[in-house]
Amino acid sequence: MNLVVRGASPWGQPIILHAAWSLLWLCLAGAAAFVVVHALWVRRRAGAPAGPVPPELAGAFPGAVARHSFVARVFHWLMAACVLTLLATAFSPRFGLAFDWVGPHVLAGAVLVAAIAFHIAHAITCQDVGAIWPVPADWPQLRAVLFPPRDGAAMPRAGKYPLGNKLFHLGAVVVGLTLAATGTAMLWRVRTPFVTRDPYRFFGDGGWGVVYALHGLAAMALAGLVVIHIYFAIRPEKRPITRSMLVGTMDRDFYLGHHDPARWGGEGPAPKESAKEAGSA
Amino acid sequence: MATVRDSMPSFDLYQPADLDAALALAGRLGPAGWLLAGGCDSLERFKDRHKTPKAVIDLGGVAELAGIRADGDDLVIGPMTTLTDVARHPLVRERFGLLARAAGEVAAPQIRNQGTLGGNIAQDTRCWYYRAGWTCYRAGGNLCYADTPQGRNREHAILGASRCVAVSPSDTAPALVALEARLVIRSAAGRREVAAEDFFVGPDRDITRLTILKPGEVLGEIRLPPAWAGAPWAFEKVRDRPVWDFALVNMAAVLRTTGDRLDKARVVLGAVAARPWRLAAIEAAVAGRPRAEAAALAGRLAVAEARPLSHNGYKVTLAQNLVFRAIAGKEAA
Repeated sequence: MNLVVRGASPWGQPIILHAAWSLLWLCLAGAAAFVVVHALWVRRRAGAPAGPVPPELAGAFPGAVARHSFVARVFHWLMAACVLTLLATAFSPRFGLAFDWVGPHVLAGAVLVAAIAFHIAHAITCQDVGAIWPVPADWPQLRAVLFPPRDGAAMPRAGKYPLGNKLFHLGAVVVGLTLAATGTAMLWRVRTPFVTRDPYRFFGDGGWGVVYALHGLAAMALAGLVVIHIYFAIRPEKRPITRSMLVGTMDRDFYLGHHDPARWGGEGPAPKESAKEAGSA
Repeated sequence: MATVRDSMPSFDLYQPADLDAALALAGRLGPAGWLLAGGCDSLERFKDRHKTPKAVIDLGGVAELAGIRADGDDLVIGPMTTLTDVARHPLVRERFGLLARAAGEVAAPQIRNQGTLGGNIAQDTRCWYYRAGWTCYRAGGNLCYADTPQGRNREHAILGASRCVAVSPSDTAPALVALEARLVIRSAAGRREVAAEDFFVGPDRDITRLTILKPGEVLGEIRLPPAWAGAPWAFEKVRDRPVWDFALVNMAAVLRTTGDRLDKARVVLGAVAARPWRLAAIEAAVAGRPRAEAAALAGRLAVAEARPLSHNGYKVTLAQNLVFRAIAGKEAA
């Protein structure tokens, strides 16, 4: 199976044209296989309990612990709408649905690029930008997934984001930035209100082929990532996290059972001192 | 890409004797089976090695696909009917002079004697970059070479472009759209009937095809309903030389008039977009107006949404004048 489709430049030189669209089926099949295997694995494994909630901690946090600010939630759902629009407009024609897809695709892409730029600036200036990246402290979570704790031992607790969240974000960053960069460059190849069309501005035929291939490969990877992301969002044990992306907060018991207050004390005002002490104990 | 014109590559030639056999073959071979009508264009492309089908289904022996007959109020034309026969047939000339004229304007007598109505409306675009074998959008690539700062595009689209700026080269297609023809598409799975207007597609909907014909499908009939039978019509084709050339712009129109008032019209431009470009907004705007006023209005607004390329701005003025002349009756039969 080829990663790309090749052609020839007007001068007869072999060039890459774009990604091999048949890989979409591979990405979707891979995502579906992951979902099925994970669902079966979760059913079979002995569910380790959440960590016990120290009584002194329960009084240190409000009933609804703030997790996502309004701005962060708006960005998430705006990005979701853009990504779904982009995937639908990109791949529906490949399933035989004929419509004028270029306009909506370009518009959604432009909004997404602007949203990503805002998100990066917002994360750096207003959020704990380090909270989303995998760190050595996340290793116990991975170990607990691979070798579930026995004898009723509790699962290790995460910071603000479980390791799964962090890994998905890492994948989304790689794929999303690839799509944003290549998609922005591709604006010069079509007529849009944003830039003056100049199809040879940045690259020759061969270089543009690489850009199109990267865009297509990243798009197909994104389709698989979205399937996995939605799957986790609707899993019963993950619903409090999903709900927090809707309402901004998570239930205190869930928070204290699954998150380590020493690593993440919730958004907004700092918790009481006793909570910090108990969390780090 | 080099063009080789010594001989065409070999292929499996199928010559079905009836429509059922042709449909079965088309269904079985799918995309690998090239439908051959008159062959005026196909054989040239085979020799140029820009199309190298594994199998060719020659429809020349399928009697059901040829001929012209009345079916109730409809006039039915087989897609394998030659353009000469369409142009000369008394029923076509009597009821639908517009189509007879359009068919008679195609290329040259030799081409019309061999070329078919079905082949003329289903033919591929003549964009020279695409025909030269360049991997443009229409050929599965990622660029329209005609729509570049250096592109030679005097014969390309001024309307309906979406990445690709190729145009439909057919002379008879605008006439069929104007006459509200219905096309019957046959396949091993059955038949479907579509309006001629819906038979053609632009690059916004499908950048690799000019028609909705899918692999395994065969154009079975072209049905002309009585709606515009005997109505006044206009057809003009402007080209670089008066014979054997494709249109720079062509225009087909049918009109209903009462005295000096234009009651209704259908106006369709060809060679300005990847599909016959019906001026529905103009038709609505001119209905019920005095003819001179309608002509002036139509000429002024005809291609208001046109986006000419670097070398085809002349098509805007050309189209405006052709529409004006059609509505004003300069060319009306």
